[in-house]
Amino acid sequence: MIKLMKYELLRRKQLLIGALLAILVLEGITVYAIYQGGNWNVLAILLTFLLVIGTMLLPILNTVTKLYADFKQKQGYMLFLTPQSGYKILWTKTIYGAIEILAAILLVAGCLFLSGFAVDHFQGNAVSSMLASMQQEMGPISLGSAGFVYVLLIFLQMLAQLSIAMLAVTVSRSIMPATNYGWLIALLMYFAFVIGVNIVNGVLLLAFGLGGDIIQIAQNNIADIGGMIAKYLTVGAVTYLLWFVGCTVLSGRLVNKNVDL
Amino acid sequence: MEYNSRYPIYLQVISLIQKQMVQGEILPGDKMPSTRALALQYEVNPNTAARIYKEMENMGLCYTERGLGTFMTNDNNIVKHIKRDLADKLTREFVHEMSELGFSPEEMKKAVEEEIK
Amino acid sequence: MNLKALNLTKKYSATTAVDSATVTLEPGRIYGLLGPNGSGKSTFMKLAAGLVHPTSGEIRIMDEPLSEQSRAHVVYMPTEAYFYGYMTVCQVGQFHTDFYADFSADSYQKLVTDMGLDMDMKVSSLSSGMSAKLKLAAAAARSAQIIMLDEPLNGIDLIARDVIMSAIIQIANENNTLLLSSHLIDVMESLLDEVIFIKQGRITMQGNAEAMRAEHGKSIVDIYKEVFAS
Repeated sequence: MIKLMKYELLRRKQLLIGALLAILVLEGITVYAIYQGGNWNVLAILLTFLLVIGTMLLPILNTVTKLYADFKQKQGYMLFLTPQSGYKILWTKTIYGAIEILAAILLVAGCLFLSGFAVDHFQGNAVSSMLASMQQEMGPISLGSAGFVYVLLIFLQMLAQLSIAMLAVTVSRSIMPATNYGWLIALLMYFAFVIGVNIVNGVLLLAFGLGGDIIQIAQNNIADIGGMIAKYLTVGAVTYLLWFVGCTVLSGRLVNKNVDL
Repeated sequence: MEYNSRYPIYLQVISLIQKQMVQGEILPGDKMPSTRALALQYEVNPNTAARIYKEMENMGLCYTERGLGTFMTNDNNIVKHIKRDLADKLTREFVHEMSELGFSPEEMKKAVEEEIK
Repeated sequence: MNLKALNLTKKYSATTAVDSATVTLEPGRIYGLLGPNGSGKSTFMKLAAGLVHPTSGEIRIMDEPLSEQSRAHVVYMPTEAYFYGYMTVCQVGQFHTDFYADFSADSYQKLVTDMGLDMDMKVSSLSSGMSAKLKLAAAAARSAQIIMLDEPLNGIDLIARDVIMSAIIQIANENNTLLLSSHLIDVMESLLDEVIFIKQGRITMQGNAEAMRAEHGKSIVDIYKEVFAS
């Protein structure tokens, strides 16, 4: 699998270098804008927005489009003619995508930290004081650990989205041969899957008692809000992991049995 | 390599080799190429090459020595025999074709004499 | 037995690409899969390579049902160029070394040089002729049991043809099976032990090339023209 991942990295080499440069440039301009202050702050916010969304989306878009290309173009033969199962091939792509997502999260966190530091430095500790007042509101729960949990959930959610998107591509390819509008079918299928996944997630949460708990909160009857939040976060996290694993396994199976190249 | 579709390829290759024997390009006792080299030389299937040597052995044209390879026969008479056979075949064909065209034996002899001059 | 297909069928929504194909390919032989465009030659090879899944019927490779492990013993060289464009000729070799136990980097190097290619050339910059030669170099550098070449002479200029034919003759041995499909039957005819005629997905005739020539009194090319005239 490592060998396969080596080639996934190699094929993206130029793209990754370009993306890294773009991120550095964007962050550089953002810090400069913060330094300037005043109306430049609008630019800083816009660029930060762009940077966060772009960096987070890139790994998923990248991995999914490469899978689509491998199914559609003859270059895919090179990969699928090797003596390994569809499971191995799909897991390699998914795990590689996960590593890229993790790297993206770390990069974004790094940039935000840098920007925050710049704001503090040039605009009178605006960020530090904001964080301090947030911590006060949270009481006994540390801001750091809450932040960590938040990021972890985002990571797991993105893993799930990645696998669902890859499954959508695989399913659409297993029911129809390569056409010019295959990407549209895959996209529609992705939306359909996401809706389905959200419905299932909702049902799961209800099954764990979310309905009753919400009513309790409304009536201010909860003794252990912390415990309750922890319960639902855990359910959420586990659910995302299950979708991640399940969709990848299913994609692997379809490649083994159904996809015609 | 162009092969005639009428006769089996292996026989055509054997004819070519026989011609080389008669012309002295292959000498009695000469080592023949390996089956693979023969296949490459004449652009035929390796199995065809193996068959060529087998048939030639049956015809007494060559012999195989285990581990050493295939060799042309040392027998000079064989070469003379082939030469005569080829000559007979050519003359037979000539006479057959010419008589089909309506030439008499005298006309045929005259045609040959003219050509030899 | 190296490859056995039993009533192998592949149906797509509109067409039947391969229709109840039954054929056994034995080791030590070179087979010609002959038929016009769209007759099912490529689909048959893709089925044997596991790239396409049968609608019904069975394929056995080395007397085992087809699985992903079968591909370790099978070479399939498609008609189109299929290497990743970002790779260099050298990286293509490295890829094959990484995933195929029977790939010989030395043979690959020699073949690449024989065909006038350079290890540093990028796949995306190769002309169609060079692409065709590279495909063959990678295929010939593997010592697999079953070697399927789809139109190996396509896109090869007249002078390079001899290099390709020699490469094909050199790969063949008593243990492996070669399955060649080609339009240029007259060029390949002398290489074939056995021929398989496929028409609209159905195998209409198969047998020993020499025997067929003797029986019909004509070359395989002429028999082909007769079979596919309509």
